[in-house]
Amino acid sequence: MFMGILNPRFLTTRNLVNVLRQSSINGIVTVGVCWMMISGSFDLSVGALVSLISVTMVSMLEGGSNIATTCLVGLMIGLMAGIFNGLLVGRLKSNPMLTTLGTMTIFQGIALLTAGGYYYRIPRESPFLLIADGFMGPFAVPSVIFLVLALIMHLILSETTVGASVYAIGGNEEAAKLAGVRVSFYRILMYIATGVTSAIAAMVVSARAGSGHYFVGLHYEFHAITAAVMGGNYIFGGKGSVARGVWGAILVALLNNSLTLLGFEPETQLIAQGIITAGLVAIQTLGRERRVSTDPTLV
Amino acid sequence: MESGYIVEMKGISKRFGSVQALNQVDLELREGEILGLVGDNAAGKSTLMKILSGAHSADSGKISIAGQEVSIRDPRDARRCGIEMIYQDLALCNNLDVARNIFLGREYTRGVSLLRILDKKKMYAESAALLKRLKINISSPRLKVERMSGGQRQMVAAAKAIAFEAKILLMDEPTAALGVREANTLLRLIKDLRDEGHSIVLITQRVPDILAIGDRVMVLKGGQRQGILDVSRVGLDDVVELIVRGRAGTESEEDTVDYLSFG
Repeated sequence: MFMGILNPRFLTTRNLVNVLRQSSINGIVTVGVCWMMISGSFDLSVGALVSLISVTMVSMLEGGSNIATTCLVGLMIGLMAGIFNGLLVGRLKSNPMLTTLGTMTIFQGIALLTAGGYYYRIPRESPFLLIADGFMGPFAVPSVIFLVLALIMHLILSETTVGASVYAIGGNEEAAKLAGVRVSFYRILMYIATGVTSAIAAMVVSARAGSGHYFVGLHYEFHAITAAVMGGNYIFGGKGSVARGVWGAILVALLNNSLTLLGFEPETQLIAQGIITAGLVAIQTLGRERRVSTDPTLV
Repeated sequence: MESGYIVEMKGISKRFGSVQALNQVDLELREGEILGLVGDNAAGKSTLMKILSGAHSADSGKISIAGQEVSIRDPRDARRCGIEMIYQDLALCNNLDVARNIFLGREYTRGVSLLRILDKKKMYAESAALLKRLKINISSPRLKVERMSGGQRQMVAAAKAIAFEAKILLMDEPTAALGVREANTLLRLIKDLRDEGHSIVLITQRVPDILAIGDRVMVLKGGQRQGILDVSRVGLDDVVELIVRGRAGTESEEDTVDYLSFG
């Protein structure tokens, strides 16, 4: 509303549909990150994974591979990366932050090694570009992919035993384990989810850019965490939803859109997101400390 | 059940690094009794029960349930043997509601598919019925555990263990964090469960509790069994003396048990 007063163009249908479209790539990564956050863990490697998958897929398309094979390879890389992260964190009990910081560097390094400074190009006539440019009714295809994926992941989380286990693990991993929940299995599953959503995001971002290069997914992990937290997800796990992640992704897009309409430099968006994320994390941490001081069982 | 015991643990040993937590411990639990398990801190009480509940695995020893030797490697194995444990720290997910905690890991589902869909209606209905049956004063099974008192949480932990009709209940200091009124309510519930036919091991530091509702009491000290006493034939001083001083140095365990059992 505030933005609508500052700039009348903000509240036009065209601009709001555009905001939804702008939120879609970050939103796709965010829904995976929401699952991860609710389970009480983190995946910092998603941005680098988007870069790696983008470089791989676009180099294949440039080399003449068909779209189905290319997409399958992209999904397989996401799946394998998820299993790799999941085994390290879920089975070996490695620290999720440091582990995925390490795999982030690995994925980024492979993408750089593969592409160097080269921009792979998607052939102009390739139907792959429709992933970004196509429309379904009034909505752009990326928006539809984002919302359908979010709906599926929301329903799995809220209506199935997978979701019940994820909330339990995020709330009290030891209690979940003692109740017979296969914690390692679900940890691996969460990393597979972020791997696959990164692969889908890589498809959309590659189609939108028409190219693939090693830094295309730069800061995506941060944008997704910002969106998840801005939407109201709890960084310590056990609370939150995919719906909140969707709302958060739209809020981040609105924030970026507002700053652009107000004439700020693009770099300002990153600073604003950083301030908001740090502030919200501090607020959640203080709230948690306060509750734990009155009831030590509420960790 | 040739031996007459619902649970028999023989020669259980467990070491954590350089600490010998349990050393050749035996435990026998009769059907439909409350067996108190007492001892000082680090006596090995919780470790012994965690082995029976599948949370830890023993380094050596055998476990038999109703005369059949079993292998308990994790909590799911224990549940298959009809064993449920209520942990000292309750092992509840504070972020979840009562029903979700009761059915955690064993949710009712609808349809047969890879993604099993929760039957929430059935879980809430059964949770409400269970709370009513156990006379647990909680307004709704939709209430989140983080909004409950310590006593209510303890009751939820008990309900969680009882929900699936486990025959053997292991309780680790259930009254430790409760006020007098809440502790009495819980002790009455434990007694009711015994009267319904459950076999119960009750770990406690509060010896009067076990003397009030128990049938026998087993004493552990330094990871070794000191003896089993018949509650109807001993007093508080006898139990405390065994906890503090242990059995006489060179006596055989059986001798000690007989001597102490007859006070």
